[in-house]
Amino acid sequence: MNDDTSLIAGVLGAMGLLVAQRVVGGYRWIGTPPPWAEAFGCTVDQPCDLAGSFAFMGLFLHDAEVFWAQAEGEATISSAPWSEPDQDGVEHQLEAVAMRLPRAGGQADGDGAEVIAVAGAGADVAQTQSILQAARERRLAVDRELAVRRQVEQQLRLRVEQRTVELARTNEQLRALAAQVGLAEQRERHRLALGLHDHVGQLLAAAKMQAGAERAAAGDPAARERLTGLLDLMNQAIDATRTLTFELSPPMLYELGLVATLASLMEQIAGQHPGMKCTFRDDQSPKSVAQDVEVVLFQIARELINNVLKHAQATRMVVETQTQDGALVMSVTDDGAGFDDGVLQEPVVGAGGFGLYSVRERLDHLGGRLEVQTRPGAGTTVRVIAPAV
Amino acid sequence: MKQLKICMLGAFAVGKTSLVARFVKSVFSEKYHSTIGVKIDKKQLSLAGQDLTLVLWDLEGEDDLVRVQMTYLRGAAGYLLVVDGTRPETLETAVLLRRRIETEAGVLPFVLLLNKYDLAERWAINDPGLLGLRDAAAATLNTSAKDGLNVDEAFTALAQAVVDPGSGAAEGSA
Ligand SMILES: Nc1nc2c(ncn2[C@@H]2O[C@H](COP(=O)(O)OP(=O)(O)OP(=O)(O)O)[C@@H](O)[C@H]2O)c(=O)[nH]1
Ligand SMILES: [Mg+2]
Repeated sequence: MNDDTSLIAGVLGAMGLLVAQRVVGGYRWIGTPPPWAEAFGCTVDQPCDLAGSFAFMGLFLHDAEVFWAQAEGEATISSAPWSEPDQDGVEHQLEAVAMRLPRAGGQADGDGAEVIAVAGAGADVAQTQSILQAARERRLAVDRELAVRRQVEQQLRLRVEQRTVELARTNEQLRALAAQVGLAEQRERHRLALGLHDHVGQLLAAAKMQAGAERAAAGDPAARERLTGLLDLMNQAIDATRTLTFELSPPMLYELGLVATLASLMEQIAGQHPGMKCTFRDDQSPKSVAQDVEVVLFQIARELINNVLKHAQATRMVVETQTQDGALVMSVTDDGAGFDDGVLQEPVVGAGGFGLYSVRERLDHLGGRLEVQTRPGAGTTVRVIAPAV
Repeated sequence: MKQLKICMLGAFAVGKTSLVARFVKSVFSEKYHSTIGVKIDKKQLSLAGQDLTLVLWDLEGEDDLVRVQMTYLRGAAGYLLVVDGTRPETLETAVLLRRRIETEAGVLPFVLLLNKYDLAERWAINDPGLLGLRDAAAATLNTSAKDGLNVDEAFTALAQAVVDPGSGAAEGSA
């Protein structure tokens, strides 16, 4: 042991550290092991067995040798904190240090060097620990906050999804209800129309016949004059009854179907609006549509036609029925003012769109479709595609 | 008496030290006291009539600041790979750690612990295969150092897998 080594060993021993020196085949004590080390079985009268006394030391010294074998130049020290219980189970916070010192006058070159191992009790790791721990605690807090935020977001997303589903269901129910109300209304109109036509209409026809017979038989010109006036009134009543019947629910829709009824409606309209060129076209294809659907389609056609008459400022109107891809397609085209089709996305009442939103809703419910082509100033085509049967 | 060196590995603050404290001393503390270097503990265990001393090496946790030294695994018979079930990123750290162990220290049996199971309402790990770890582990257990759930079982399962690699302990459940 050279002077440097014994000096350092002496200082370390005086500091209450456990010091050992490498010899051939192992280590030997330098000085007297401190009292804390006795609890690990380290006493002067026992052979120095660092690896046996401390679970950590065998590995540590081995690692130090590996480290020195790889290290370049003057790398001479290796240290590591650890903690371990003594033979009584009492825990000690320790630090291991291995130093390689050059022999007197020599180099620290592997086997030529002297190695001493030191184990210290109560090594102060508090400083390092508090820095590391502060960093980690902070990191944990941030992670926790992020996790909570993620959870809240997830819950919110779920809630929104739920509400969306509920809303869609409510909408569907409302639509179904509207469709039912619509059908009930149609049936009621049909009933009234039948009553008007079959009952009131028949009575008026009979009354007219009688009045006509009276007039033929009357000799008095003044009486004839009065009966002619009466017949005129009765004809007006019969016309009014017919128009009303048709408006309520054309019986021919039930008897002859949609196409014939639309044709007849267009004829009527042409008669009532001489300024408008009205055309009806049908492709003559057989059309199989359920009666309830036909009724809804007729109702829609009437609304579309009324829109044109009231709002479009048009001079021409074409109504067309045809079969496309197996589905009945009904279109209403005009050369009028057109509108901005953005309004179709919302249930707007009033300017533009004119109830097309509700038409679309009704069709949706039936499984049909509504297509609108329009631009301000460029006319409008509305195509109603009935659900394929 | 036969000694088995067992290492505790995982990201920082997953509960490695707490699991050892629960196992060895039956205590738990809410206070976080980050481990520096390595903390060694011992515990006797009787396994199928054989007395064993488990020498537990509780290693410092891995994060951006600390890279666990793989030389600490030298001589280990196996390890407990610990994940904090409320922090999904600790599962990724576990995957990386295992990969590093296998290239630098060799293939060792391990038991995967999903710790802090008492915080089930904050549970954040959903991957059923646990990123491939479940298949590789000798067993996978939900644990809690706080209330002691599956803690003894975890150490026993690992000792079992080490002592008798073909044993039923390999059929872990979580
Ligand atoms: N609720 C709950 N908290 C736990 C559990 N295990 C550990 N903790 C807490 O988690 C924190 C970290 O525990 P430690 O045991 O120090 O974690 P570690 O993995 O040893 O941490 P490092 O040594 O820094 O890597 C402490 O505040 C513990 O109280 C558990 O099972 N449940
Ligand atoms: Mg720890």
